[in-house]
Amino acid sequence: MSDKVLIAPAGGRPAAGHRGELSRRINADPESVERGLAQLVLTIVELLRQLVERQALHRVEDGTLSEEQIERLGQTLMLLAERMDELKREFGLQDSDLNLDLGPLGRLL
Amino acid sequence: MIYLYAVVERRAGPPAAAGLEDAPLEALRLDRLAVICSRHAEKVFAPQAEALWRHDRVVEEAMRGGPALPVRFGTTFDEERRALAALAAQAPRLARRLHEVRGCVELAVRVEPSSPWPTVAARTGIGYLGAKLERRRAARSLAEQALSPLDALAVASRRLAPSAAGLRASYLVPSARVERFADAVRGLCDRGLRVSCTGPWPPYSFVEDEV
Amino acid sequence: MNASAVTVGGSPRPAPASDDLALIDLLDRLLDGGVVLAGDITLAVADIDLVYVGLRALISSVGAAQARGVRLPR
Repeated sequence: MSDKVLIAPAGGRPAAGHRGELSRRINADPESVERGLAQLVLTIVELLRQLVERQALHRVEDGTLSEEQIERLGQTLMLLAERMDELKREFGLQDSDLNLDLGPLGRLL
Repeated sequence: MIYLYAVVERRAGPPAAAGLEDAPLEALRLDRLAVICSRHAEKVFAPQAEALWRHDRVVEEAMRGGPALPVRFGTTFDEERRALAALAAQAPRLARRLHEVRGCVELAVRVEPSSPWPTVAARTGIGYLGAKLERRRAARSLAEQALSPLDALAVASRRLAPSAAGLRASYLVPSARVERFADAVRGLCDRGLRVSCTGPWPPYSFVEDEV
Repeated sequence: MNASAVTVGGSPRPAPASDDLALIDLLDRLLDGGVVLAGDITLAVADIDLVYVGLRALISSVGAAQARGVRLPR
């Protein structure tokens, strides 16, 4: 119920906005199908990457990891981030594409 | 099964509203307190939009008759006796909270930096995580500084766990001061920050002790 | 409880629609806030809800549990 919104951040999209986009992409030619699926998969991977990274940062702050563990974790996350960038480039996807619209639950990322 | 919406001061009757599944509301009394509830066949409730808004609506209607403490979504008891026992166990604390929230509403504020952070470039794993941590701390410090003037306008404030986007805070504000508070939040928008404010809400964040 | 929405300066991150903003703030509060009585909190979670609620439970429960000194499995 939008009468609860006193102040909204800029860049707000209309309530009925991008919902059709993903399915429209999937329904087109084979290349688009592949791109649509890549978008779906990469969004999930990106979400998981962010979650893991956030947990890692939490653990580092807690002081519950050894220096060696932090180095290994950091290396892995760095490589993961680089790989994600490569994949996004390969499929021509921007960060804004990797933002699944879940309807009333808002965007995933 | 009894579904609970809010704890209130003892009063004549339940609010004039419908509960979940359009069930009629009741007020179960215990000394100086009462709990607003409805009865249902054995069932669980999905935290979907409609049910959430309905629960919130019941609490807001209850607030018309005096202070109300919202109960967490999905709280049920299979017997009236047990619900009242649970209420009795916390009665003194709840009575104090009702006094504290009298005449107040909750406002929800979110703050995040408006420009994206540049990509972290590092050579070592420690360097990478260190840079990310530093970036996160800087963002939070910025947001905290921005929020500090709001504390002066509120009776109380709580921070929710930071989200991916940024800081989230709840403010307990006297009803008469809501517009002034909203103006203060708008003032934050100029400082390279993206801000949102929703409400007024029942005092969800001010009923339990802080962890 | 009337309200107005004010939008300000550009931003690269797409923002949620108004309805979403209010619902997300409500969700955070109704699921994590409110009086906790010693009853049964039973939630039915299905489909897409599972993603959001599950993730929130994952992130906030881990944090809250750790804050309470609960040791979590590695």
